[in-house]
Amino acid sequence: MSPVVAVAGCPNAGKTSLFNQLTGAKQKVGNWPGQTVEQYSGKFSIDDTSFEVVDLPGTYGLVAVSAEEAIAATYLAEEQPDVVVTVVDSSNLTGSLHLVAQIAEAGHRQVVALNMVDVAERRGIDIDESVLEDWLGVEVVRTLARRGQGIEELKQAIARSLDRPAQPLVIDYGPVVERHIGGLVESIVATSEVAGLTLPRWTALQLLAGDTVLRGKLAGVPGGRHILAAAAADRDGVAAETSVECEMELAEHRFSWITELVNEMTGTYTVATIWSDRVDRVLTHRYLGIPVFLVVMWVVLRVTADVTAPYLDWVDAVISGPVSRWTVSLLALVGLDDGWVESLFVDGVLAGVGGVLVFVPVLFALYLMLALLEDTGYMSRAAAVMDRAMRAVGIPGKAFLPMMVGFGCTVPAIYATRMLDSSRDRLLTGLITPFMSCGARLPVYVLLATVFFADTKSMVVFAMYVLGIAVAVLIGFLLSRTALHEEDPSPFVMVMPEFRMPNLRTVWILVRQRTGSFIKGAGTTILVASIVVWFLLAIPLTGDGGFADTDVEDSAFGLVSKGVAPALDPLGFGEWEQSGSLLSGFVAKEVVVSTMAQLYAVEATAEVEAASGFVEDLAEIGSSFVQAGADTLRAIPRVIGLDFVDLTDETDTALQTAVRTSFDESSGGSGQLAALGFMVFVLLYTPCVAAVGAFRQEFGTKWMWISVTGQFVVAWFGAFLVYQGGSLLGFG
Amino acid sequence: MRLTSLLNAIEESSGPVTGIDLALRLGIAPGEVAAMLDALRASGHLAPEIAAPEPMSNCGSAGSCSMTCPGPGECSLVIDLNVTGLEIRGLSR
Repeated sequence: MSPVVAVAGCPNAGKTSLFNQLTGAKQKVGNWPGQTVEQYSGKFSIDDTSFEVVDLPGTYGLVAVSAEEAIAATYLAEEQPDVVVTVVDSSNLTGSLHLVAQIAEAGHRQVVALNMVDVAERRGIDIDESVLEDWLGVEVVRTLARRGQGIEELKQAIARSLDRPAQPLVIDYGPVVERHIGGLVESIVATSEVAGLTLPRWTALQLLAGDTVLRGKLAGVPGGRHILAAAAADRDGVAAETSVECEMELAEHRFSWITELVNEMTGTYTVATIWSDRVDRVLTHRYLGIPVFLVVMWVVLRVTADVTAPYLDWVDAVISGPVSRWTVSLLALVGLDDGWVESLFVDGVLAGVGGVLVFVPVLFALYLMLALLEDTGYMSRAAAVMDRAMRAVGIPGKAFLPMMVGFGCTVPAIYATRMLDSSRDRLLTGLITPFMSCGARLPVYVLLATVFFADTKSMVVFAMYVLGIAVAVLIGFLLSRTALHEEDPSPFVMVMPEFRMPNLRTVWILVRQRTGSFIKGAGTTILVASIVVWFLLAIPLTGDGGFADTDVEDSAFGLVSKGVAPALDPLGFGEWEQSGSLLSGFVAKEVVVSTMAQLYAVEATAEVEAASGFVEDLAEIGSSFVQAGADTLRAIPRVIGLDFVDLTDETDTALQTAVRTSFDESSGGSGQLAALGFMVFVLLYTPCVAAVGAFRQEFGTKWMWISVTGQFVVAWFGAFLVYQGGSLLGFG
Repeated sequence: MRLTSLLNAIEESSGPVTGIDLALRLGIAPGEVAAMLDALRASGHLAPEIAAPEPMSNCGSAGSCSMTCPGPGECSLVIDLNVTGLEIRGLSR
């Protein structure tokens, strides 16, 4: 029978990489008995001996708290593998050596893989592995598992270890604990059914540490209850004599032992403040943290709104020019031009989907900036800063996590409320999370800000994001003082990653996935919505027109939108086109823009430019792309306020002109105020039908209706305040 | 009794607390706090927080958050805060 090698290690120590290198392609995947956790096993051979390798779940120690730890602890105790390979993260020796020490205390034959030594060396940690070999009586092998370095040496060490008897590690836990261990070991040795389970000293240690898995097992063993009673008395005895709970007393001694070991291994036990800690002190500072967060957000939105403008214009020109011409030409080839089919493709699909695709560069820039912030570790700092600000007004701790997720998309943010402890906290967070401005709302802001606030575009977009946070905090504050009273917050530690230079590959993968998701949405949701809107615009309900040949005001869409429009009149955007866009925005926020593009395109009955040659079109696309790239580079200094070259395009697109005219007319000349109110309304009203569905699943139908109604009311009053308040103050 | 002091500091905090907060409170380096948190994790005093169980059963496909209902780990638009939450566990208490 092949010797069995179990691979153990903390999460992120490189255990999986090492297992893969050991076993190559010879792997099997199954489930651990009675668990949903996957079990990986494989084989390797050396010197004609075949070894079976089992990959244990990542665990920090052998006191079973999580399911993964229980699996690892139970496997080691019951299966007694021939060798345990423990993977150690060399850059975090103190974190990894607890597991090494516990496995050694349990009496397993062990080989230590000192992994990620390159990372440790970069951090100036010089490790003398012979110290670990001397202290534990084990063989230590340096490995770089990702690159496959040290794997052959590790295999040799595993083979050699079979000839060596296991040397159980004995840590001195101090006179009090040792006396109780001694008494308990005597009881265990005297009970044959218990004595045979594991090393008696290890059984005693685990019982004193309060290991629930072992206690459950002993409860079913003859004589086990007697041992459990003795262990309980010993735990109480230790607590009474040391004034510290027994398991904490054990942890303190083991921690001191490991600190001393690491000190000898590395020469100096380095816990000095590193540069990441210094940066953290500023970024998470009680008073500086929030201004820094706002500046970071401002830069993100400045890049998003300003720097991408040349590419936004380029996509717009490509869609409204060559793509529209090619579409018409193709339809003419099959004899479908000049009819309702051409209208469906040009005024429905191209205007709708194209109207949203124009904003791909904007979303690309937003996702790029967010990915950079995520990968450097800043987003977790921002979450900590937000948390402090919100707790000050009674919003539950941890609420900031789903709220930050809401900057990306409201749907997962609502599901992320599950990480909160109580149903009250989950509900409160679910009610305020939709006010965080998701990526889908950005095209609406950019369109209107470009038309009405060309010089301060990024500042207006930034203001929308800040307003979203402010409204969420205000609503949370009101709810926590009224319907949802605050409960005692539960303590928990936020472990944040160290600051690091962003990994460009990771950033690129994130940006590609997210931008792809936006484009996929344009090809599915927006496409369907655009076709539905086109049909509703084509169907005449009044007037003399026929299908696809009717005055849009007489269409089904026009009549429904007209029915809603009076409610929005006090907000300055009571034209039916505006109310219609907001209605369709209930499907998804990007649809607001696509519907505007469709409605204004239909009304303007814009003719597609005369056809030119295909090759000339491709040349035009290529040259304008290069020009857009040059303009983007020249626009970068504008992020910090340096305007070397005037890149302002004074010429509005057809959609921008139509939007400007529409808002000016609906507000009696106060187009800026009405547009600002419209943006506030889009920010605050119901995010989309998917978010409503998610909310109903999480919190039930009653709260869903309260949420939807509340958001409409808040949005209406928000826009009302902006428009009417602004008019009263003379800003119109 | 360094671990005991740290665990007490965590218990006394109202809501989330960062390693920097704890280091400032205890007057030690953040790196030392990190090492002590690892020790408390290994001894079972701290454990990663566990989200509430999945309540939905018929969610759509992953990838887009627009019309389907992917869970938190399935949507590409989820912003990864890269934060691990550690909660105090009662062990045998």
